[in-house]
Amino acid sequence: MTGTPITLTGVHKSFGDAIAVRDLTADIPAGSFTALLGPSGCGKSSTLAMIGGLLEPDSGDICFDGQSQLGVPADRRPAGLVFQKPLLFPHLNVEQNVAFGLRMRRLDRRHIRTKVDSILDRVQLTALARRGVGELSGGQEQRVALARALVLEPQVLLLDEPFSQLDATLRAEMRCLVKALYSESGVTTVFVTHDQAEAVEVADTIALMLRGHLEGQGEPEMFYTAPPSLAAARFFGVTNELPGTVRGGIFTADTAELRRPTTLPDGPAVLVVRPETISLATPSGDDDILSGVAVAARFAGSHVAVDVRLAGDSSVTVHAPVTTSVALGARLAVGVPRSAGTVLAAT
Amino acid sequence: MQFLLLAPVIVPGLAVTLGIQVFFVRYHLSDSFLGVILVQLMPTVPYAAIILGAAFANLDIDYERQARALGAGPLRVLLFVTVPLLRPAITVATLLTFLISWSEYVLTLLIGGGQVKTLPLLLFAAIGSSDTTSAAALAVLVIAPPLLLVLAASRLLTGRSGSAVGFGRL
Repeated sequence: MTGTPITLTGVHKSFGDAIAVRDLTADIPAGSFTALLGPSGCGKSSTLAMIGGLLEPDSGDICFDGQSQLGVPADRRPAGLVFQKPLLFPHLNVEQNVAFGLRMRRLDRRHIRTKVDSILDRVQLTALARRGVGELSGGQEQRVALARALVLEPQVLLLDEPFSQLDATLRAEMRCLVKALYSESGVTTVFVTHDQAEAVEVADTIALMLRGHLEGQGEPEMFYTAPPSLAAARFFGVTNELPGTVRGGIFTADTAELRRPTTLPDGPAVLVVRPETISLATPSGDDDILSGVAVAARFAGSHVAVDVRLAGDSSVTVHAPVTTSVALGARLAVGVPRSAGTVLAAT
Repeated sequence: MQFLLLAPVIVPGLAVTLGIQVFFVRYHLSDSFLGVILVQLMPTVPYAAIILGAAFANLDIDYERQARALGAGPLRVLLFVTVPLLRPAITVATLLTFLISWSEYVLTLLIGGGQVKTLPLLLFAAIGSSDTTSAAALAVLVIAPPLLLVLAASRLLTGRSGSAVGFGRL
């Protein structure tokens, strides 16, 4: 079983006056594991519902393997959906829930039996096959929901924040299971989440959605090393922003002697530097130096986060090794490697 | 709208029926089987509407979305998901409306005009003519079915778990 590529072209969807998805164009390659990431209300769940056929876009096209899916109802699309809630049918037991889709396809009993048994084995629920769904724990319920979608051998698996109601340990366990099932089947998987750490861990591609449109799509590393926009960089967490201006292809920071070549047009811009790429250690000759005063230091387990106030009003956060001792109020030099940071247009 | 639905329960049925009878006579519905069925909707529909309305309000339509995604068409979603999810409410509504209808006397007498004979009508006639043997036999006939039904239904509704209510059959 191999996956199907999904193409979204100029997809638009609004509910009354509220625009949920705006001119969304994205390519989801066959057999990829894509995280559709974004804050709540950014339109990611609507996008998933449109791919699954539960919502029709107002305009634009959605294709599986080049075939337009517009007007094809959810029950005729080769897509499996797992929601945030397990939504197990309470009048059926575990086995019957998993068999539901196969019965809808009018497969014969023996065939259904074999398929159900094999998928229950893969999600380690064979022992619970005849239990009522009311007797299951949260993690078991979600495993049944996953099995119920996968038993149909869909070409596209759509997961809408499937683990957000589980606790952290169980969530990690479920992520592993989903990853394992994914690598066995190679089904094109789209995973909606608002948790960037989860997206980075589980997906091979991240599509970041902000306010209804696609902010950027690429490998998880890209969003850390070369974020596509300031908004994307901010969504990916603690980032230092050094404001400045671009003139003739060179970015100059306002408050420090710091220059970077850039392809951006002239105008205000921001250099974004992640706190783990800069250091307090004796700067090597290749680093740009920012000097400032340490104003706060927080122990964060794997590192110490040091806030340094620079000249002017700006400040940066540096992740230093836990062995570092910082005297608050002391003057410090912060080394910024020439290769670190991305120049982005200011918003 | 909801008030209109409940009105027949609030307004004395006899008052409404006397008004309805005028129309039923005009449309040749009085003294007929169909007329009796129609008039019996009046005391029963409000109860069915309240029970089913509450059940529909609590129904999570995401179950239906999930069923669609699993390959069930609209009709099969209704048959295999929605109706089973509503089954407890449907059972209760059926039972209650049956009980009301089964023991209905005044409306049947007025609209049926003695032409449509139901058990309560026969029972009252037997009592009226002091035919105690028939009255006793009819009384058993009137009491037995509702009694058995309520027994069976309470069994079903208080089964081992809430999920047992739907029988678990596809």
